[in-house]
Amino acid sequence: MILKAEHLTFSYGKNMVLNDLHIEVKEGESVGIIGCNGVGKSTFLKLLCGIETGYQGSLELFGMQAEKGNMASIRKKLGYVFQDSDSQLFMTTVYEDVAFGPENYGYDDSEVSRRTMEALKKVHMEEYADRQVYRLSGGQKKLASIATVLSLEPELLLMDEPSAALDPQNRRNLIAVINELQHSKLIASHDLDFIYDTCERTILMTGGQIVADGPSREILTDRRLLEEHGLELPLSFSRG
Amino acid sequence: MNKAGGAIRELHLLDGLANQDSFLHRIHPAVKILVTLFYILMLVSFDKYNLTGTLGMILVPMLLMELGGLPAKVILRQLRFLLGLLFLVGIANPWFDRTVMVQWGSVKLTGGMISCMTLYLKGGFALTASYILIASTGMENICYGLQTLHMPRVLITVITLIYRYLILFLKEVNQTMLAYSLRAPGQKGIHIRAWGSLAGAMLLRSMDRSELVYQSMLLRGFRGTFRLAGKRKAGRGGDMGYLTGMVLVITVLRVCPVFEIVGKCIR
Repeated sequence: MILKAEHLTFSYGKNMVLNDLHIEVKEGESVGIIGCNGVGKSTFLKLLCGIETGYQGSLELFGMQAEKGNMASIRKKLGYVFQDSDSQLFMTTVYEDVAFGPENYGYDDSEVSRRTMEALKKVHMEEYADRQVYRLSGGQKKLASIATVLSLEPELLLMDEPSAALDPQNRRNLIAVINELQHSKLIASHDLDFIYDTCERTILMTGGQIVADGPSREILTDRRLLEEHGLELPLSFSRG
Repeated sequence: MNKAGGAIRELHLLDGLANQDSFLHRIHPAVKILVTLFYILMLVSFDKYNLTGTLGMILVPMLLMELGGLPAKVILRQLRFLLGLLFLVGIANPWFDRTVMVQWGSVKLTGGMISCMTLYLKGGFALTASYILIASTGMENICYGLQTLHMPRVLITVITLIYRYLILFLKEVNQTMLAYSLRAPGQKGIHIRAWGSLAGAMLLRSMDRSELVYQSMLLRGFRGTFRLAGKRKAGRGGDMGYLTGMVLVITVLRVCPVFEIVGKCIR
């Protein structure tokens, strides 16, 4: 088990965002977290990587409790892809950005270079290594963002709304890239088609609680369940 | 495009120039910093009335532009605002120092005029040399060079973060101004009633963005100091050759008033 949350509760002041959550994720699983805006999907991901702290209950990652003392070791095994790629990419060139993580973890130049080029290769961006970040398109920025965390060779990938603001072709490309990655994945999104295409398991959240957890095909084809929680059938199913 | 958009474009242009490949680009950043500092030091050491000697120092930025493949037109265009400010610095000199130093017929050049022109030349050349340093090195590599020269790490981190957050701030300003102008067609500038809320919104948005970027850095192992690797291809031989050559050229130009000698020869 790489992730185990029990009775996980978290609030911003008096506003309870996560309420008594129970989640377990096995190694190699791809799990989609769906739900309307504000149900706590992003907050849950931020708790996992320690951007948000001060939860109640138990949260265990890679056999370690998610607390300050363990956070450095946990972060080394986690890759968090932000919703907004512009917040993730801050160096001048794509290569520099992808190499930022390995350099910070103190790897020597040859290892940094190997990890960087391998990560770029995985997202099919090796020819963009020397390109300035601001010259990339939205889709390329998203792929470069994924490469910035792949260079850390993480065991678990966390993605927050990865398909947001992508055109159909870039979205399709991103799905292909994500499906090629062998990592365990936790993807928060309300793009249900995207979740269906990338995750074998789906968790539906409402009001900070899990209301359904099961195979994507079961949950994402249950019109009544989805509509009860403010969602709609994925387009690929609603077309019949 | 508003002014913030223009500033972003100019910063990107600067990054673009720094990413080129030339002899100058391949020199170690620390060596380039030392040469630039030595040049500025020699430049300011000229007497305020030594116009011809100061003028000779123009050859150094010209040489650097040639070595770095940097277009003079672009550099001058980028520096236009600072050069304009520089113009204001010495503008009062001709009023304070009216001693006639040179006279050709009825044309009189006072000490104030000459010191004013010398000041412009010194400032202009120093700015150009500094710009060439950034345009041929890039901010990340300059910080790496400063680190090599044992500048305190905390200062280097501050410089790097300021540069990074400056771009974020400009982007937020650009977005906010664009949103404002689209809802205030035909209006010049910003209405006084909107100043407070716009400034507040820009500050809060850029703080939010900075926070996200910082989080992204933390998640990738950032612990308060940048591990600047400094990508460079030149060997030590090239660095030493450049350092020796430039120190020699600058010293010669400092000691020999080149234009005066050329003028005498022509005469």
